[in-house]
Amino acid sequence: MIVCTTATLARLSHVLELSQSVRTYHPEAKFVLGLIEDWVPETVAHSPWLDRVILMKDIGIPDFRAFIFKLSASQAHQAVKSSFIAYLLSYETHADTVIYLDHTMKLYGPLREAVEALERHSIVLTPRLCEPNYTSSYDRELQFLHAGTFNGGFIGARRNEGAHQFLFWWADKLNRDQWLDLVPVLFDSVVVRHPGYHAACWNLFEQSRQFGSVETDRAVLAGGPLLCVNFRDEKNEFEASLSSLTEQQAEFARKLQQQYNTAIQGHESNGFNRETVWSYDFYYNGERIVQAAREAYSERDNMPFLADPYACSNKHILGVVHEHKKEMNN
Amino acid sequence: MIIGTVVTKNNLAQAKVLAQSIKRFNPDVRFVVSLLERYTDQDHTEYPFFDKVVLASKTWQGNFDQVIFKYSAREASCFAKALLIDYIFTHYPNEQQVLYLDHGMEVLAPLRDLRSRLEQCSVLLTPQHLYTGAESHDVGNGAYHSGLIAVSRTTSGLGFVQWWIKRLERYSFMENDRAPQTPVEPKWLDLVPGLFEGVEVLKHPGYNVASGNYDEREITQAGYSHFRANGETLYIKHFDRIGEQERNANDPEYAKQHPALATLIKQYTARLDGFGWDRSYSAPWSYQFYNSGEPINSSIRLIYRNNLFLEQKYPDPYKLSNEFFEWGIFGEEPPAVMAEPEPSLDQSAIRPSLVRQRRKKPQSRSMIKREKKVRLHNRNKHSRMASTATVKLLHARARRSGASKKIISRSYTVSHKHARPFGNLTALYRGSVKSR
Repeated sequence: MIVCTTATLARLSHVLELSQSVRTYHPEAKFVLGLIEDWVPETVAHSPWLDRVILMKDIGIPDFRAFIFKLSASQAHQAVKSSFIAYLLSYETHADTVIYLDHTMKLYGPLREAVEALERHSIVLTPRLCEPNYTSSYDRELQFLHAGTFNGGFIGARRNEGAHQFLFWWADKLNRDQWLDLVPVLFDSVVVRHPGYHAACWNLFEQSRQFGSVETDRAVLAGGPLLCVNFRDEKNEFEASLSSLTEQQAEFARKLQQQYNTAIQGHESNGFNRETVWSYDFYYNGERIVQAAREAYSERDNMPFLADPYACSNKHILGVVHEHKKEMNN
Repeated sequence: MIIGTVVTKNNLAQAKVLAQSIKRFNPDVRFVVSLLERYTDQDHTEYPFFDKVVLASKTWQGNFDQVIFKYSAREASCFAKALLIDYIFTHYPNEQQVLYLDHGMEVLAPLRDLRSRLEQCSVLLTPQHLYTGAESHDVGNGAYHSGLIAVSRTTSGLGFVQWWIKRLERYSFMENDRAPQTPVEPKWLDLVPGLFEGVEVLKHPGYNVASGNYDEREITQAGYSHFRANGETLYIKHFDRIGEQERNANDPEYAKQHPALATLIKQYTARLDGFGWDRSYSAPWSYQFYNSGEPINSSIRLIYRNNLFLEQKYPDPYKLSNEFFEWGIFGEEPPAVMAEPEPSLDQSAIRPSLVRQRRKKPQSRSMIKREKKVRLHNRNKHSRMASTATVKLLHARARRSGASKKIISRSYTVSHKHARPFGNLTALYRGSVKSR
C-alpha cells in the first residue's frame, strides 16, 4: 500500500506530521510526497520520514507550466491529486492500492475498513456527513449539496481499469469535490461511513462523532475510535464551528487541535518554515504573479504565443488581455 | 411488494395505464394511488386495478394545505411521494418492500430482478445516466432520478423516508433559477449514499429509460411485448414529455431510425387515449385555487414560500387571496376596501368655496430653456424618422465604397448639441462620406 499526499514546501510541517502518524499505524505502507515545487531541497529529499518525493512537474501533466500558472498554491494541492494517484498506480507497481490523504490530515488509528474495502472495489470515498439529521436544521446539508457529498481529502484507489477511468475523468473536472457526487453511479466505488474517518470541523457536531475521551494522539468517539482527522482550517472556520458543540465537546476539540498545532510548531522550529515562498508564484524575472494575471490567463485559454507564461510579466499578460477585450469591443 | 404513485386528476389516465401494466406482469403486487386533489370521485376509486386510492392530504399529519400552497402541481407531487412511501409503511405493516413509480412510467416485464436487489439493501436509487457524458447536467440537477425509488423496511430505510419528508417539506423545487442557493428536488438524493447504511445504486440499463437517456440506451424489440435496452430486459420505461415523443414517433423518418422506440410510444399513447387522456389532461388542479375560487398567482406562491414570517402568521393561506399577499408582504394588514360614496346628483351640493384654486407657479428661466430644448429635440426626432430612407441609401453607398459597418455608423451619427430647425436633415445631406 502507498499513502500519498501533495503539498508545497510551505506546508511541509503538516506533511511530516502526517507521515509520522502513517508510520505509526501503517508501518507496511510507503509514504510518497508529491511536491508542487520546481526543485527539491536536499533536506526534504533525504528526510527519513518520506519514502519518496516526486516533483509534480515530472508526472506527465501535459503543458505543466501553463497548467500550474492558472492555480494559486491552495488550488494546486487539489488540482494535481488525481494525476498523482494515477501516476503512482501506473509506475509504483509494488503496491496495488493507493490512499491519498490531504496534508492537513493526521491518522489516529489504522485505516482497516478502507483497506479492506479496497480489496473488493476500485474507489473508496468518505462522506462529509455520515448520519442523517432528522430535525429541520439543514443548513449544513444545503451547503454540502453545492460543495459535494464526499470530501476529496480522502481517496482510496486500487490498480485496475475502473480506478484509472475515474482518475482521468476527475482530473478533467479539476478534482472539484462536487463531481464526486456522481462517482457511486459512474464507477465501482464504496463509501466508508465509519464516524472515525475524516472527522473535521464541519462534522464534529454529529451524534456519532461526540468525543468520549481525548488523550495524546488517541481519542474515542461515540461511534468508535477516532481514526483520521482533517485539520483543514483555511478560512478559520474551526473556532466558529465549535459554537454548535457543547462546552465539554468544544474543549475536547480544542485540545485535539492544540496537540496538532504544537506538533506542527515543533516541525517548524526544525526549519520547515510556513513562510517559504512557492516557486511557481514568481515569473522568471522575479516578479510575483498577481491573482488578476492568473485569472486573465485562465480565462483566455488560447494564448498560443505565451507558451511559457512564466517568461512574461504581470504587465504583459494583463496588457494582452486588455488589448483582446478592446478588439472584441470594436 | 407494494407499488405507489402520486397523481393529479389530469394525469389519471397515465396512472391507469401504469396500474394495468403492473398487474399484467406482477399480479401479486398491490398498487396504491395517492391522489393529489381535494376530492376523489367514483371514477378513481372504482377502477379495478387501483387497490387503494388515498387523498394525498390524508397521508400526512402536518399542515398539508400550507405546504402545498408553496408548490406547483409537479413540485407538490414530489413532496407527496415521500409521504406516500411513509403511508404505505405504516398502513401495510406486513409489507417489506415499497416501490415508488412516477405516474408516467410503464412496467414492461416482471419485477423479479428489482425485488431480489431490494432484499439486499435498504434504499435503491436510480441514476439519471449510467455512463459518462451527461455529468455537467447531473452535477447540478442531481445524479439520481427521484421518480423511481425503492425502499425496504429496515431501520435505515425507514429513517431515509423520514429524512426525505423533512427536506421536501421546505425544499421540493423544480428549478433553481429563482434563487441560486435553493437546490432542486432530486439533488437531495445525492446526500443519501453518505448518510444511510445499505444504499445501492440500480446500475441496470433496463430501468428508467426516459427521453433524457435515449442516447445511451439502445432499445430493441425481442418479441411481441418483450423489449430490450442495451441488450438487457427493459423493465420500466418512463414516458416523460409524452406530447413531444408522440410527435417524434409519428414522424416516419424517426420511426425508421428507432423502430422499437416508436412502437413502444405508439402503444403507450394508444392505451392513454383508451382512458380518455386527450379529454382529461387539461383538467384544472384543485389546489390551484383559493377557497374563494380565485386562481393562485405563481408570484404569490414565491412570496409565500420565501417568507417564514408569512408562514407563521398565516398557516392557512388558502383562505386568503392574491390581493391580500400583494399587501401582506409589507407585514401589514391589507387596507379595507372602502365602499365608494354614491355620486350625488345635486351638483349644487359641492360648495365652490371649499375647492381651493392654486395659482400656476411662474416658470423659471431654466425651465423655459429646458422646454425649448425638448421641443427642438422632438422636432429633430421627426426629421430623423423622415430621413431613415435617405440614411439607408447613404449607408448602402458607403458600404459599396468599402467602409466598415462601425465607421459608417460613426460618421452618420449626428449629434444634437446645437439643434437647429431642420438641422438634422441638412447635416445629413452636408455630411460627407468619410472613407478610411
